[in-house]
Amino acid sequence: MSGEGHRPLLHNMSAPPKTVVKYSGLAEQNESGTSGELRLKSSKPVLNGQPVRFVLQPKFVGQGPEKILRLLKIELSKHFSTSESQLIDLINQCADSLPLPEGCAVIAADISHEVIWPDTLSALAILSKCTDSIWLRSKSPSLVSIRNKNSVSLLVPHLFTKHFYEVKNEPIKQNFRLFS
Amino acid sequence: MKKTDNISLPTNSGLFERLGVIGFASIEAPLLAALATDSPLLLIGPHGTAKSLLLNRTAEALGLNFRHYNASLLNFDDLVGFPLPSQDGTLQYVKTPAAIWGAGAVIFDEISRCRPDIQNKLFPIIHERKVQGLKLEGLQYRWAAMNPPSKDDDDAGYLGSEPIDTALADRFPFVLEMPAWDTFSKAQQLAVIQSEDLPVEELSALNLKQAITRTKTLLAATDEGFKEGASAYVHAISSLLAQAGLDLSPRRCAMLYRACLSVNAAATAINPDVSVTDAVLLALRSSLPHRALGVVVPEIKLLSAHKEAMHLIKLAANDPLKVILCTKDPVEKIRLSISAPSITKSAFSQVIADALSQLPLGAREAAVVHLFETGAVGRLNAAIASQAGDVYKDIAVATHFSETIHASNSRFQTWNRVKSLLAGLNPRLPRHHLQANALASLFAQQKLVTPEDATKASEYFVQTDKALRLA
Repeated sequence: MSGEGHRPLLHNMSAPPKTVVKYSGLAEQNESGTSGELRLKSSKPVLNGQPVRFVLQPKFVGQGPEKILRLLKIELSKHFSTSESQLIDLINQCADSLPLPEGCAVIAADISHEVIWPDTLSALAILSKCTDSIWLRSKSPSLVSIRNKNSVSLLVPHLFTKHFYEVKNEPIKQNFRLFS
Repeated sequence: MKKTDNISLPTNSGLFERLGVIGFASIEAPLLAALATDSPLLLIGPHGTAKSLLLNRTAEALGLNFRHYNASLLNFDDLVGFPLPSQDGTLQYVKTPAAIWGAGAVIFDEISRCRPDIQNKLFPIIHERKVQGLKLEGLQYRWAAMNPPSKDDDDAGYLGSEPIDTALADRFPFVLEMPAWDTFSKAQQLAVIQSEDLPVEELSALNLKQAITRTKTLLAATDEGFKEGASAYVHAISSLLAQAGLDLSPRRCAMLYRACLSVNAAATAINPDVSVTDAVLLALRSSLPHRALGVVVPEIKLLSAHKEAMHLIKLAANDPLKVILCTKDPVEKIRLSISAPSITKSAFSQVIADALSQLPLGAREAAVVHLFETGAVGRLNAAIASQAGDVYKDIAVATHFSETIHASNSRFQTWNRVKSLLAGLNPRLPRHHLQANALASLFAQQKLVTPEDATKASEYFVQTDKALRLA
């Protein structure tokens, strides 16, 4: 954080001095040398929780439900009228199985964010149920939304992160009812 | 209490219309209830809305020996006569024809324009039918009328018509606003224009007396279930109105309970098909003293509190939603809602949205943080959750902003305060990062207008964060 104000003698006397205020997070007070600038700087962003990144492999991006199922090597089931309803069912099952809170903040994905669940269905379960600011487990999946983005990060509160690594290596798909 | 979908009120009974007072159907039931229970009645309305006419015609129809006083011109001697020491040392009053002694009904017109000392002397007459400690035998009805009080910020009020004393207003179980001229039908307006000052017809007077008797009978026969429902309603509505800034005194709560019973009986006497919900709403409207105090009761607040109270009385006594909705403090409401997983998503969303909207800047941000940290945000419906997400995003992750401000701009002063508040925070403490981000985000959104706003927001954040986390 910096607290340098305007210079009383050097500014143009015909106009009030201008000051640039900046903020990018709380940090130790940091005097800036730039004239007329007040700056609150942080070298490393502090997040309120653990960011977890979900990435959809490029071959799935922009694909329709039928193609996605085919890429997942899942046959179209007789129990579903369309491939879309089958994919939505799989997404919902996957969302239910993820050890996340019922709702999480969505933040901009960053390469430094850990990918704990790299599988496609987990990525679909997050991408199809999130807006720009929030992921909700109970939200109906929107297959349209996964056409435009391939990665997102959730900010998971610390209270919910302790179970992450217990289930991290489990092949989540095996728990699903795979109709074939 | 049973709720019906019918929201129509008895509008065609015409008890008072037959007395020559037109357009009063909407307040007929509370008027009748006041008459059946001998309760003090205060009418509030602009000039020319037939307040005095209504009271005079009613007294005439009931064959009452009544006195009509203009309280703004009243001297106490006019009320009691001239004091005269008697031979035994007591004080006797020389009773003039205009004195209050022997009256069956009194009307204090323009009560809001009378001097405070006279108002104080009217108090025991209205409250306990006594004057100078002496019982006014035979005095059955105590009525008063006033123009809407003037308020600095209200052009609708009358100059010289002052809000009446709170304690005096609380002695009127029924405080009725007169129906406005523009709510009259054209036929009613024409009837008013063409009306003549004819004596009250015998049959019309008999109708009114019979309606009063019928109301008394129905009131006496009120079943225990209704009484229980009415008391639960009053309990709930008093909490809900308090949340809306409309406090009711314990006396007023008791009055409101009795008004629920008597207005329901009166409404049923007028129209046996009247819905309980509507009768209770009418009782509520007729029992609030705020207008006499110069406080406007927003219709939307009244209706939503009524609806909520009717909903609450149907819930089981141990239903957590009942406790939550009756809680005044929005932070406590949020805390209770989060700790009650049994309440439905829709109820939870409504409670949280209402509570967040009541919170000041800083407190709201802390509450949103708590919703996310507990995972409770997932219990909200998508629209509310999304709004919470928009707020949380800038708190959980620092907002990056840059702005050029002129040093002469008041915003610069606010920024200096924000800067000083942030300088007092410890970057090693995670909660301080949230507090800093919340402040910076509020500043960036131009929600902090003055330096005091920044200080308050910072304090509210800390208080609310503590209240929610440590509870």
